[in-house]
Amino acid sequence: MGSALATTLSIHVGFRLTLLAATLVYAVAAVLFSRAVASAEDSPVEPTGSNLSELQPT
Amino acid sequence: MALMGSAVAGVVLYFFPALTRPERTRRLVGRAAVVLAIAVPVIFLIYLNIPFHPVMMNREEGFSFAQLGYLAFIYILLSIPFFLSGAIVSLTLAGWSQEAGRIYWSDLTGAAIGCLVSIAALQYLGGVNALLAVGVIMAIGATALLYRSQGWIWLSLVALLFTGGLLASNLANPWINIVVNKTGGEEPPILYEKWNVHSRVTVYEPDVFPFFWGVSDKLWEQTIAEGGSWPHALLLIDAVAGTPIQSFDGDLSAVDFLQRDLTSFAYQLREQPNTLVIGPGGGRDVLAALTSGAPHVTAVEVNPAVINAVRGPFAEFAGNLYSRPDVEAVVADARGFVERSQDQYDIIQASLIDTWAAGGSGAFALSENSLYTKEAFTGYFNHLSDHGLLTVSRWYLPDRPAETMRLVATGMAGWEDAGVENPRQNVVVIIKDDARAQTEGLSTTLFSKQPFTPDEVARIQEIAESMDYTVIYGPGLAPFEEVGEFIAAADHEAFIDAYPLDISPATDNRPFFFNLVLLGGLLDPSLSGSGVYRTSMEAIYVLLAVIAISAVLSLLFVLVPLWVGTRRRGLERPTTMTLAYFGALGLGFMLVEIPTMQKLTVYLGQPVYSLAVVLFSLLLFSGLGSLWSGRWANNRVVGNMRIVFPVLVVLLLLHALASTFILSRTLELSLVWRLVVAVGLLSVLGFLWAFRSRPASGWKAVATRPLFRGCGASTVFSQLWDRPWRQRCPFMSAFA
Repeated sequence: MGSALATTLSIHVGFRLTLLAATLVYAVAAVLFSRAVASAEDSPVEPTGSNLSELQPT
Repeated sequence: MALMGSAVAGVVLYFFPALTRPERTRRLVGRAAVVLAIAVPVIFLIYLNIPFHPVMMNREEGFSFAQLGYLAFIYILLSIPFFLSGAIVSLTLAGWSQEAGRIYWSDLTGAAIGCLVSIAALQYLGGVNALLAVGVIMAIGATALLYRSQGWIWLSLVALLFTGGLLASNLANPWINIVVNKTGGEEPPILYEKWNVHSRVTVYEPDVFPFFWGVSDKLWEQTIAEGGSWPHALLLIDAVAGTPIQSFDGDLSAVDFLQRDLTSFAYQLREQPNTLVIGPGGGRDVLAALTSGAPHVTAVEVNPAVINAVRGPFAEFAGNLYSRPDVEAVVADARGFVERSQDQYDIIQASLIDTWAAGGSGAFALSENSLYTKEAFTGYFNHLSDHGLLTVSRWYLPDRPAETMRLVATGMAGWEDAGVENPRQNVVVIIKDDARAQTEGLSTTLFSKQPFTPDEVARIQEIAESMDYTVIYGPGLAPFEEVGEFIAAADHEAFIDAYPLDISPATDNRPFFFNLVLLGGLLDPSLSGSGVYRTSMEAIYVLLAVIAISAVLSLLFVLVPLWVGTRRRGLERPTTMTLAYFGALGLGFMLVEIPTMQKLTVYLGQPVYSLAVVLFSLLLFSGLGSLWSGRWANNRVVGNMRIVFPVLVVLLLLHALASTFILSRTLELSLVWRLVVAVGLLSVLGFLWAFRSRPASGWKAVATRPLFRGCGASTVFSQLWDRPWRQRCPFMSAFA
């Protein structure tokens, strides 16, 4: 859906505004990341059993 | 489709975590590869026979739900290979989890190489065989994975024989044909067919009647009455964009009837003009220039298959037109060629040059076009001689001549940027008079380097009248019809705002010249009566239909199963914040990828180059980024991401604000250097994007949630993240 939405947006408002919208979305993602990390630091979760640990670099 | 298939694969593996146990994954990867090898050609053969015609989505009888159903079926069908390839990558990462970083790097690098290989494959194998070759590569991969496996090794060998046999048989004697094309019609017998990275080019049996883009009844009758030999073979690009190859025996007087076409009007006004023809196709405009006495014609054609057809199998039929000493046929994108050219031309001609074939979709209203932007027109202005003329012909709908109006608006904006104080003095618009009684007609707009003098305008009017054409705008003449009123209007912006269609000047920032229908006009029945506007509307219908289908299928195959499944199994659901975070990553990526690809299409001149460069760069540098980020210590991930995110946001801001400036300043470079600039532009972004998976694996609060634990957060969501790059090229899956 993002692909079709991006196409629609760039056709109707132009490339510059679409890229600015992308910048805004990434800024939101950065804020969400910071908040989630802060939240996780407050209440750490037991990672036992996660096969993600295997993906972690050693 | 790629995203859908991969996402569904992620959901399936999430619900069946047993499949991701390392001891099982190796077998499963090989088996999935066997199924994929067989599925690719089989699904392609089914797809070729689905009677989906975009042009029939909304006709007089109303909206076609059958066509919508076909589109949805195609969507699901073509998602299957992506489902399988998504599962293969996820299982591979789970099975060899200790090597995840290297595997991921190999995956991205292989996909980047696949991008480049796909260009060569399309060039040398053609579209059909390139896809069959993907099946062969998959079968080879499956055989390599299963060579120690009892039973399945035989099946993989059968798959290899099956896919190899299909490819070999179709190479030896092509039997897999495209029987349904996007126009909705069946193809007549083909004399010649050639695929390349640009398109599929076909040539059909010659027609015996003279070919005109636009000619008055009077001149048509005169031509027929005079008699002669006018055979022409129609050459079609991607089954839609037509250009005739005119039969020519070297005697220019035998083809001087071409001068009667409205598209050739400018040749009546300049003697022995040094001429540049943009998009000459089969060479008709080149012949028209030669018959007017042009001492030299430069013909710039973007598609080498078109030039090769006229130079090769149809050389004798076309009188060796492109090998004449007074004709220089150049394979290049015209925009870049003009920017690089040191020459000045007396006439630059662009007759009905458009991109019906662009992107292979036919949805040309959604395709960017670098030839019709105000920046392009400024370039044309700078390459006209002092008394030079730019002549552009477009379709003309008398009731709402939006295409001609947008052309005029764009051209005048370009002339203004070139320093012309009052471009109204430099424009003349001529239409085919009897077209006003028809649905569609033709207009030729002349843009002069110097203002038209009253004598010139009088002469143009005299010639037009003698040919039964009508001048609807000329400096000093009373404005005539909507186009004339628009040019003469004191406030163009107010006129544009009030007009029901989009006639604002197209720019490099928004180069969608052919997207004329505003969203509010989509249901206007008076517009769908015209082929010009209907095409624009059909493209938007398809786009909206794709959005709707994507939404419904995402709901059915991803969101509902996750919602219901987690509840039934008592699993913890991801938080809204987690979903919003990953949703933002996906949406943000698309909002960068799509406009960047479109910008680079304008810059590089071809959608295929843009697609390949964007995918190659992002994949390659992202692979390198993955390799580097894989070495981060766990306790550094969060800290590093706190640096990466702001840098990424700043770079994106620079990309949004400065990339157009950089690209416009380097447009005159050769293609190779422009490719280097494009890769350089994307390198840093690609490198930083690689870190998207790091938060997933380093972000404990997210990573330990069951949803992500099922098959690994970085696996599932990196799939969602990476698929659009990896699977836009047919060979990517094979190399991934």
